[in-house]
Amino acid sequence: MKRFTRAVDPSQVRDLLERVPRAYIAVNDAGTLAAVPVAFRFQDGCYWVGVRSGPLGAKIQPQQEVALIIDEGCHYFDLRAIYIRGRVRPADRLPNGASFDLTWLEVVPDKVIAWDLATMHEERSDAAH
Amino acid sequence: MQPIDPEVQDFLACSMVARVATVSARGRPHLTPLSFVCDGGRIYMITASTVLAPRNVAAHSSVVLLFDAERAPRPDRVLRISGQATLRTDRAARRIMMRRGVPKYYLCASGLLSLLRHIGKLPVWLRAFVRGADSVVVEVVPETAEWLGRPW
Repeated sequence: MKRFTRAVDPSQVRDLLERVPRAYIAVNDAGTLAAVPVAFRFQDGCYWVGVRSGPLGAKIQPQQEVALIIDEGCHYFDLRAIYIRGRVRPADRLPNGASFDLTWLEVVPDKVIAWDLATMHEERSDAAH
Repeated sequence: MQPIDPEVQDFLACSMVARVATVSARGRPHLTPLSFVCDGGRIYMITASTVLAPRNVAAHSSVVLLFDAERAPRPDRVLRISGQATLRTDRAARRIMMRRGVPKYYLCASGLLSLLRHIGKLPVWLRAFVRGADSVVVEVVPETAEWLGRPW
């Protein structure tokens, strides 16, 4: 049995991490789903997010499980993205170029998945992803 | 602010990608970028039926969508829409995606250029499209809309 997939190895879209300064983060805040835009930096192998203060930003607490997406492209075949599932912890230092107006957290990843729709292909459904 | 406000509709018209937040049956958050169209005050997205977003919607219908107005001249904020999602596999839902999605994503200068750049992928894309049973339409009824500042 074959299926269509657009998954790629995350190393193939690493430029997104190094170039795109924005991301979106989602948390399950005691049963309520919350999602906010965040500033994003990838430096020294660490994933950093800068969150605005306020009621939505306050929902992102240390040790909380988060889903983070960094994407680029508007049209179907241009869309590339990296999805990171992990937990946040307070940043012990700020990434280079960080805005002091934001609260910076580090996302410690449990899982990283990448998509590049231009690579869409068929694969056996028992293949890994 | 209501999702039907003209300001919200204008912002959606300038947006190309919805970042769709869902939660799994076990309470785990998920986020994925999807192309979308608006029709009749609802938001529609199509994706593979086997991936996490539709599986999560089947477990929890509440979703949060984030829009960035990529086509706006000077986007300065993010639109956050919360709503209830349902999964549809009927022809009417696919027709909405075709009727609204083809002009938005393909029958425009940037869409045609993108298509030309990836012309070699058309056969596999068409095979995926014809094998429509692999896909599902996520229909979202917006409930609230709010503006968020861009933190970048």
